[in-house]
Amino acid sequence: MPSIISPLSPDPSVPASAMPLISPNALLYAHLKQSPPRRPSSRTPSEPRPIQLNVGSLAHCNGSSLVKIGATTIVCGVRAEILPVTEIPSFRITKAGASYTPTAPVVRDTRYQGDTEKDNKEEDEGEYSPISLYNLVVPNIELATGCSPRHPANAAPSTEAQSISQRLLSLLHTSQLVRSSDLEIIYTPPAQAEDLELGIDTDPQLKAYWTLYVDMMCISHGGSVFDAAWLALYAALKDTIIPKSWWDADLEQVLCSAEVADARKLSLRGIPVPSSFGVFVPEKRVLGQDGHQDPYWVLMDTDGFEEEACAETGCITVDAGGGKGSSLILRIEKNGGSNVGVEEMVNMVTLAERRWQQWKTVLDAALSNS
Amino acid sequence: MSDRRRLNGPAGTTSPPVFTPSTGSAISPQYRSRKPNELRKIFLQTGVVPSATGSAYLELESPPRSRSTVLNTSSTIKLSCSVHGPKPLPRTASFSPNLQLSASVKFAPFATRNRQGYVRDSTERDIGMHLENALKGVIIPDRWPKSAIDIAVTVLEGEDDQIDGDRIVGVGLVNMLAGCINVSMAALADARVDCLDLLAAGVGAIVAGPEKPLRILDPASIEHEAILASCLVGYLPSRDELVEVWTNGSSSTQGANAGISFDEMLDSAVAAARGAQTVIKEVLVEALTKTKGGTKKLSHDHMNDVEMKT
Repeated sequence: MPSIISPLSPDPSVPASAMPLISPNALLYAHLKQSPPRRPSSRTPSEPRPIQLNVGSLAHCNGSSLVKIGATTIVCGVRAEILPVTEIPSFRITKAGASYTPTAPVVRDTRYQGDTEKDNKEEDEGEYSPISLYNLVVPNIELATGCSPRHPANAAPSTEAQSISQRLLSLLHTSQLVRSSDLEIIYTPPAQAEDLELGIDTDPQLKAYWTLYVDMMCISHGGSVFDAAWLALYAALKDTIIPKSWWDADLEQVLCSAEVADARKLSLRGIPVPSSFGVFVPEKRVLGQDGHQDPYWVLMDTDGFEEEACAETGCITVDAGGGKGSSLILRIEKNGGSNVGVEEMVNMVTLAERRWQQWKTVLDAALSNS
Repeated sequence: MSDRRRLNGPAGTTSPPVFTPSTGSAISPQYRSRKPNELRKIFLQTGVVPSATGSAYLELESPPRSRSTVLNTSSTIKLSCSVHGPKPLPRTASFSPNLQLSASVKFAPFATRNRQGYVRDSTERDIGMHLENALKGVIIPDRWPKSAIDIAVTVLEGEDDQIDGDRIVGVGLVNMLAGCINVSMAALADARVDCLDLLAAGVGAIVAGPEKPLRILDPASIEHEAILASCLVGYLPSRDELVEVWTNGSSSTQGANAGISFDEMLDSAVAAARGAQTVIKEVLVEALTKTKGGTKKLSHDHMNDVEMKT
């Protein structure tokens, strides 16, 4: 079409910047068939983009973070609000009084060290964990911010936004990232109030829960939003401080101390890190008479237009912080095709572990700066 | 009525924490350390959203933050804006000889002290309307018949008004609108949309001084005990035109009793707008020189072209 070429440009070819819009499949194939294969962003197929992280920059949040991965930017803020148990319909007291002494200093062990008995006990809460039972951690991602031409502002949450929020929630629950003991507000009546005849005992009572609202705004959508959203969520939770809180028996409500010195951080279980990938299969039309039979490439950390060109996509979530030389696989999902078999998935776990190391370095640097 | 497209959290209602009066570190009031005619520093950056036609991020200089209390009273304005278009109107739309401009403002749930929901409320719609009207005064709509342009501003953080406020009202809201206008103008210029001039907005105010009322530029509500009147203008400096005026509070027309008239307040707002315009201009020129000779930097500019067989 010569009519669209402006007379000013001496070179009557289509500019490189327009190719992803015209034919993403052909562009990707042209890049990947070089040896060694290079992506249009001059990354190798297994090379992820660098991560930029900034924590604690929002004033109104208990914890906040900003994650930039390539062209993807996500701002995350965590708000803690109080949910009194009287507000919970059909609240069940699952922990009977005497055996439960939360006022005693609780050993805040990490997942991988400390005595295993205590660990197992905490792991056991899984099925009836108050966090999933009462929805105490509420992640939501907003894509309708004009973050890309496909996500217009002023619209109801798209299917993509809903599915990412849901996947974040399910990963939060299955990885048991947040401890429910961190969110409990417990009241121990004073000892002199005990009166067995009147049925007043001094057992500790659970009065309220903290609810964590995790809100993410996608400022810029440049592919692999789930990864970026999870990392933003993780960093914001890591940055979160919960004010010291107690039940005031006279006012019959929870009061908090505004002092930062009294507040405590959340102790999270492990560091799950998701790695998204796409499997690129060139179209038959693009392949033409080139000799290869059914070539395909696995692209780690796909960016915006690669995501559109890949039908087969997936995500592996690993936690390599075990210390025993083996990493945990927390979640695998893959759909859209059958090119990648078991061996390739095993290779991808290695790449996901590398991504974990990358994130750990970035996270440690950001948290030590703040 | 719950929003079924989002995760809504517990069935019961949660409430924001109630803090006891803090004993050790009382919240000390902050006072204005700037001169009356000095603006807060503006941080502005264009091109933050690579896939948008134009985009910008604006942040006002934040006051020094005390890290001793969980409650934070010193917040600042942080805005992100993206422009999509001009793009063709949908086939079903009726013919329009002009560019259809739509602007919207959305607060993040964490923009205010207390958490806000996702559903757009009347404040956001109102401020979006003001923004749209101001921008309609600066673009040249007949250059793009049958097209539309969408401007979306996301408020990541708003300015607190009172010590215990959970909504953004008064001067905080006026400052926010000024920020929205400035960031949208930068994004529009980044999108290379033809405009009459570089629009800028500024806020002027009358505050209670030690003896008599004072006239100041760019008021921050936590720095003053009483703001008697405030005024926002959207101003086109090279044409000396106003596209938006919004005043709050009372000021006399003659300046008889208080000593400061409405006209003088308007003048200080215009002066603030001129100050903001120099910043926008500087940022845009800098962005232009970076991309060599003014060729539009497209999102995939960094790609190295490879010979293709198609």
